[in-house]
Amino acid sequence: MPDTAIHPERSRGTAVREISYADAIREALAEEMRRDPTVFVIGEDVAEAGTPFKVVKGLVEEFGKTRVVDTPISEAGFTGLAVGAAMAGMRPVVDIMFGDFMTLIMDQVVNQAAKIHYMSGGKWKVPMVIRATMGATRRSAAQHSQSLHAWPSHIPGLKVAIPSTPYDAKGLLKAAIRDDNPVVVFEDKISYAKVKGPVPDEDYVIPLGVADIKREGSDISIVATSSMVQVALGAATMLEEIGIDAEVVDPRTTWPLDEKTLIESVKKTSRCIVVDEGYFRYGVTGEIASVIAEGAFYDLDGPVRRLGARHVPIPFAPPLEDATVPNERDVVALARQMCNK
Amino acid sequence: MAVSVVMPALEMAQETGKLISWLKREGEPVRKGEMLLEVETDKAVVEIEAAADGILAGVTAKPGDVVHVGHTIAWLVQPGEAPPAAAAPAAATARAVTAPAAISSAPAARASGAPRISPKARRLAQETGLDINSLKGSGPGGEILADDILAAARESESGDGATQPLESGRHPTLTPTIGRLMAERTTQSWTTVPHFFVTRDVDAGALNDARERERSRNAKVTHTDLLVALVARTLGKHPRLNASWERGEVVTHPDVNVALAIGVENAVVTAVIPRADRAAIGDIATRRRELTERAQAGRLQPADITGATFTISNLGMFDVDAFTAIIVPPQAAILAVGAIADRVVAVNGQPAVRPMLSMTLSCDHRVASGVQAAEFMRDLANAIRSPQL
Repeated sequence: MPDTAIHPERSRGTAVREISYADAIREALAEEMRRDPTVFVIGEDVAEAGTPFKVVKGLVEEFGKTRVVDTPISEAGFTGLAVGAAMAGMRPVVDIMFGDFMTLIMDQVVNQAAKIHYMSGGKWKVPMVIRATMGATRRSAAQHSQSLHAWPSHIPGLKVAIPSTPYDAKGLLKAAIRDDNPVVVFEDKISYAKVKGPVPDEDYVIPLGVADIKREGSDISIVATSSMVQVALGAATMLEEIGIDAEVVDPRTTWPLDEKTLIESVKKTSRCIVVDEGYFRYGVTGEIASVIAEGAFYDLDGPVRRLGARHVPIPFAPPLEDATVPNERDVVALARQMCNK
Repeated sequence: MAVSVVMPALEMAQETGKLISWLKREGEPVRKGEMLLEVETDKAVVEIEAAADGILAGVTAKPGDVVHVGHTIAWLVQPGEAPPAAAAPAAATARAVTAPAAISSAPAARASGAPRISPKARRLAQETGLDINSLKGSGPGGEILADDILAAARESESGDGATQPLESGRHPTLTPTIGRLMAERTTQSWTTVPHFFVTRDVDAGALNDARERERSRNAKVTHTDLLVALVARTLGKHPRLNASWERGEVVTHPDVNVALAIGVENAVVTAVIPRADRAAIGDIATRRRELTERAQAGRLQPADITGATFTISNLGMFDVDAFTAIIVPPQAAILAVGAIADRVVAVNGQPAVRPMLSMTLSCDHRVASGVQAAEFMRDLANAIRSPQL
């Protein structure tokens, strides 16, 4: 897979260093913890172990065990603790090692964190962040490979970020920590080490709800999220060789959703593929496709098409697991069909 | 394999359809998507396309026959194939009003016969006035795409006459039928509905100003669009004018669906702007433009012409001062709108020249009284004098 395209606005003059997606997340956490003493990290294996993905490695050395808190295996308990801490004025960052464990914390997230601001008539707020992972092809089997970001996106009161690049991961996580609402950030496990990209030294945040055009094109819009942005960019390079100029649009957050940018892109290209690693039935691709179908209907030259995980529990067997997730060839084949080339 | 041609259900509660004509002769080859027959429902004449390639055979319905929906009236067979003999018994179950076969057969027949075209291509075809039936689609499944329209438009502009613009053989068959419908409906209305008429002259200065304001935002907004909006909003407060006479009773309607009379060749049709009381002026203008284009191309769909609760007929563009219109049953009223013209009127006891508009409401006296009609016209006049859009 190619590395992330370098955007001019991200260079900001000085030579920009390249860091990994995991490093960018660690930097975001460290910077926010330095800036704001109410920010703390809580979760399983976040202290000495630095999580299985080594994302928060080194934080406990700098901030100590009172701000980098190891917990027992008790997701519902420590997420509930974080909801209370947030209501009391702290800014907890909850680490949910595998997004599959969203099942364990849904009551705390959906019925408590998302509701309290509304049900208290605005008197309480819950400025917490839940960091969870998504993404398959890591041979982790059906209970550790799902991409469940559609679930919190369905709930009013929650915001959901799904960064695809180191730059976006850092800027979105910092924005999430500073946001007064509960924000769920889904990080792609495969991207942690694999995706590297330019990240400036200075402090920046990316507002939640602003899509990013990762590659400009005129023939077809590929709306891609998280891990699928790299797939879409790879496909776009292959499509270029056969004369199809693809635009790659990354919503970056599923809620708030930057509908305008998505619709404008498709109005320009008249064709659209939505690709997301979650299950496509009743999922993120369905919502985005409907937003585009409504907003760009009279500029569409064919149906909006979707690619997502196949409707099966993610298999453990590598060839089967690989077949469940959209890849560059899938995107290229569909784009060629839609463009008649 | 033989494919049956059934009497389609074009409206929700339709029980029967009247065969107007076969557009192909028995024994003639037919291509999928070609116009095959004309059917009259309670409200419209609709052309039905062939659902498959084949030879028209086993025709059992003659022009003028009234047939239950879902009933097989002919077959499309392959060369050398005989039409299945027992056509009628198969359709017997479709005779019940609620038979699922009747409901499901109609959309299938229409969807498979229509030329498949992308939304963008359809919009471009309307904008360029191209007849999509004369085009070949280049899409993955033969769909007509935007590029096909643009190519055809370029071709017809270059003037080599290779493509056929709008005038195909369709109008001569369509127009007489619409004309006959007009004759039947107006006769029925004029001879059975007790009409009475209420006329108001109103100062249209503020309406002109409102139109200028709207046009600065949307160049396509017309006086008619503003009147549709104002009439619809006023009707919300006058349920007896947004009503109908049905089977001896007054029925009031929760929705305000305003129909516009649209002149077509040798006839008039009415097409509906649904929920016009709640529609934004820009949406009304867009819908009105689409309906006009479809009406003039002879392509109004059943959904375009059903559900009206009130009708407006505007002849202002022809400099008509005032006129009376015939009610479209079962609606309770129709508003006839004349031209806005400068006239000398008294303003504060002095003669003044003002842009004046004359409107005449035709009302069904079984549904509304003179006072109710007058109250509606008073409120409408006020709305025109200070338009709230």
